[in-house]
Parts: sequence; C-alpha cells; structure tokens
Amino acid sequence: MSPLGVAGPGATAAPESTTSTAAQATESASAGSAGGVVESGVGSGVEVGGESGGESGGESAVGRAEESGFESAAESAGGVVESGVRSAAGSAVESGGESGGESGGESAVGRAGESGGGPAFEPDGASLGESPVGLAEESLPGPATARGAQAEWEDEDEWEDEAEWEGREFGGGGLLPPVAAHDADLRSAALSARGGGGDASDGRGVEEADGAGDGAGDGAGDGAGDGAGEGAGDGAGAGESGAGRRRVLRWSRSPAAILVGVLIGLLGFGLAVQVRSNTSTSGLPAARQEDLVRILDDLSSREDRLRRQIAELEAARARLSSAGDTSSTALQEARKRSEALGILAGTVTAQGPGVVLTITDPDHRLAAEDLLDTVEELRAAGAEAIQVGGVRIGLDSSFTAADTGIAVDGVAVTVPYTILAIGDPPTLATAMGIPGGVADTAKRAGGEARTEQRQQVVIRALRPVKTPHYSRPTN
Amino acid sequence: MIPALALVAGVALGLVFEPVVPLWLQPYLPIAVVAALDAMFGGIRARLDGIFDAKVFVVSFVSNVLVAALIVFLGDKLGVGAQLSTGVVVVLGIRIFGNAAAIRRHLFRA
Repeated sequence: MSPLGVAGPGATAAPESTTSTAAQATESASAGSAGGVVESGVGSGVEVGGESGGESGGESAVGRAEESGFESAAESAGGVVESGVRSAAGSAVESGGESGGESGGESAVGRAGESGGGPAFEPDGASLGESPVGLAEESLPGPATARGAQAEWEDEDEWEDEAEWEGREFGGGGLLPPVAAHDADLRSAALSARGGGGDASDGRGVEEADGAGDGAGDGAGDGAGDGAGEGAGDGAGAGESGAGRRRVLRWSRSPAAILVGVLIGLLGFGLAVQVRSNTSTSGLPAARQEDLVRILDDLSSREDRLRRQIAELEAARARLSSAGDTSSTALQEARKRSEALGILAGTVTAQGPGVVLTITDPDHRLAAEDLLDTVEELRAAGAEAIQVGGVRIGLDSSFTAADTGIAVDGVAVTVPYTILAIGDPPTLATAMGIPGGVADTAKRAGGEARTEQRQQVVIRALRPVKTPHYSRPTN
Repeated sequence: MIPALALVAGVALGLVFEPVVPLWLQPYLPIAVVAALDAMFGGIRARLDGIFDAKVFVVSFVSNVLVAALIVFLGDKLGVGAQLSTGVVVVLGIRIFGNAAAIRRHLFRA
C-alpha cells in the first residue's frame, strides 16, 4: 500500500500515450517499499511526464501534472495516506491549473475536485479487478464503494459532492490496482472511466486534471463516473463483468444534453445575428469612442479638403462664365457683322424703308450707262441695298447692252425698269430729283422716272456668294 | 446529433427573425460569439477525446462568454478597449486553433 498506488492508477488513467508509462511507474512504484516506491514513483512520474510531454502538448501537461502529483504524493508519503492523497490531489489541482494556463485550470479544478474526492477510480478498479496487474493490492474498494461508483455511472450526470467523496473509504479500498498497460480493453475502460467530462477547450486542463487525479486516482474515477456515465454509461456494465466494455457514444435525452443543445443553438443564433448586423449596418453605433474620434478626425480633414476644392471650382467657374460671356458677345458681334456684310454684299434679303423707282422708256433711248448712273446716284444718296428688276446690285454688278435692251449682270431687264432701294426715303427721292439726275435723264429720253417713297421695301433678290481666289486677308 | 441540429436551427432562427441587436450589446456580441465558438470547439474536442461532460461544457460555455464580455467591458472603461478586445480575440483564436488541431488529429489521424 503505497501512496503511489493511488497515483499509479491515476497515471494510468491518463491519456493513452501515458498509460503505458504510467503503468510502468505504477509497477515500479509497487515494486519497492513505501518510501522507495514513492521516490521511484516520482522518478518514473517525471519520466512519464517527460515522455508524455514529447507526444503532445496536452499530454505533456498531463505529465507535468502527474509529476507534481507524484511529488506531492512523495511529500505526503510519510504522512497519512489519505492526507497524502488529498494533498497530492490538491497540489495536482494547482499544478494542473497553472500548467493549464489556458483556462484548462477550470476543468483541472473541476477534475481535481473530482479527484480530490474518494476513490473515483474504484469503479474502474472494481471493473478491472478481474485483471490483476500483479499488484499486491487488489485494493479494491469495498464492494459498497464500487457499487456506489457504479450507481454514479448510472445517474449519468450526477455530480458528487465532497461529502460523498470524503465518505469514501480510503484505507485499503482507497488504493486501486493499476490498469494493465497492455490490455486494450482495460485501457479503453480506464479512458472512458477517466472521462471526467469537461469540455476540452480546457482540453489540456482536462488532461491535466486527469494527471491531477493521478494524485488521487480515485477522483478521476469520480469524474470518470460522471463522464463515463454519459459516454460509457452502458459500458459501465464493465463494472459488472469488466469485460467487453465498450465506449458507447450515445446521446441521451438528459437535461444536460438538451441544455447543451440549447447553448449551441444560442451560439448559432448569435452567430447569424452578428454576421447579419455586421454586414448590414455601418457599425458606427457599435464602435468604440477612440475609433469614433479617429473617424471624426478623418472626416474633418476630408471636409477641409473638399471645401478648398469647392472654392477652387467656383473660381474657375466664375472665370469661365465671364469668358463665356465675352465669347457670346463676340459671337453676337460676329453675327451682326455678317448680317451687315451680307446685306451690303447682296447675299441676304433685306427689308426696310426706301424708295421704289419706276423708269419708263417707251422709245428705248435709255442706255446701260443711264441705269448705272441711277445706281450710282442711289448709292451716293445712301442706299444700302438696291435691286434692279430682279437682280440684286452688288460689288461687281455690271450693266451691259444686250440685244433686247439692257442687261444687268447678264440678265436682261425690260422696260419699265423697276428699281428698289433701301435707304432714307426722302434723301433717296431728293437724289433722284436733282437737276441732271435720273429724273431729268429719263425725261430727256422721252420717258419718266417716278419715285415712290415707302416705309417698307423688301428686296428679295440675292447675289451668289463668291469666295475670292486671289485675295486674302492680310492679318 | 443534437448539437449539430441545434446549431443549424440556431443559425436558421437568426436568419429568419433578423433581430436588431440592441445598442448596448453591440460591442460585446462579436466577442461573446467567438468565446462561445471556443467553448464549442473545446466541447467537440472533448467529445472526440471521450472526456466530454455536459456540466463542464455548460459552465465553461457560460463562463467563457461572460468573462470575455467582462474583459471587453472593463477594457472600455479603462480606455484600452481596443487593445483588450484584440487580446481576447487573439487568445480565443489561439485556443480555437489548438482545439481544431486536436479535432483534426482525431478525425484524420494527421
């Protein structure tokens, strides 16, 4: 009966990789005397820890826990077995919690709480009792305890309290036989028994707690009872026969499972809600103060830049609009000029006050020169547009003698000659009437020149537009 | 399995109802969701390890969420809200990675 005997099974209850090593430790522990057992146990525990450490992080944590458990066990080796176990469990808890680090401590504590109790492993030991591992102590707990543990299993989620644990006998029954390292069944049984529940977000912690349970070994069994109750509740029958214990993964309709389902449902719900709210809203209401301040600063600087840009654009617009005005003015000027030039050149119809001159020449005694004189007189009097017959008088108009009479620009005009002129009517009429003017010439030729002043004279005849071939503007 | 169905049902409910998150809750909801995710991954890993215990899962789930929200809240009050929130998210992410790796080892033996 060595305290290590307690630790032994606990160690074996650790994850598989450490099971064999733990078994070795147990065996070596059981091999010697109490003190020697402790030390060798500690040493092997260290080795176990080291070896297991090499396998995986969690398992190394287990090793550490085991190590500390063993150490504490060694310390208390000299004392009462119970206290030794307890302190081992306690320190294992602490070490488990510390090495857990990542909240593994929680489950480590839980585990430790479990393991701190009675011979949780007893059921295991009870079930495994059939397979002695050469340990003198078939220190199976009293059948009562074994049954009690089994009853735990059957209440799947019953959580034992310390009182129950403390009520357990530690004595001879407190020491459990180690699991046969090479018995797969037992190992799996040990594992399932070790269950200990707990989520493995504290996974390492769980394993550490398992390691912590090493200190007590029994405690793990308790936790195992709970966890195994779920997973291996059916398999708990192994306690009865210890053979063919399977780990049956079967969800039961226990309140715990429903609660777990509810929590997972809440998680899904929160996930969906958060994703939706994140994608839909801009997130400003949910932002932090410092983020908001930063956003505000960015927006303020951006506003400054934009205001400057607005001012620049407005200035440019003012510039362009004023320039545009001048250009439109220039456009108007150009239009007016083209109209004036068109009128004068004869390319545009014109209307305005003027005179209508009708020259009758019954004897056909008027020559082209007389018509040319008439046009000259009208021009001298300020006529702006002149139409003779149906021909507009322009820059290069010519009067020639044709077979049928007088031709203007090659177009024959017939008697009576109708001349339209736009200008100041009184001036034009006076010019026609001066002595030696058009009227006199017509009368001397036997005809008559009648001048009629009108407020509206419309000249519709046009001259064709001609572009100069030889001349160009100088500028 | 019940949790998988529950997860799907929760997501579906969240999509169907489209609740509006209250303003006071908005900074904490993402952190709480990540913490709950971490607890869930831990639960899955524990399941695969065969050491799942519903009570521990429930307690750890709730405590994860509460502690994460508490840390974020405290950080906001202290003025290091962004940093603490980042730290919490980083740590939760590390744990999720660890658990996911363990799950992967279980599932694929690799």
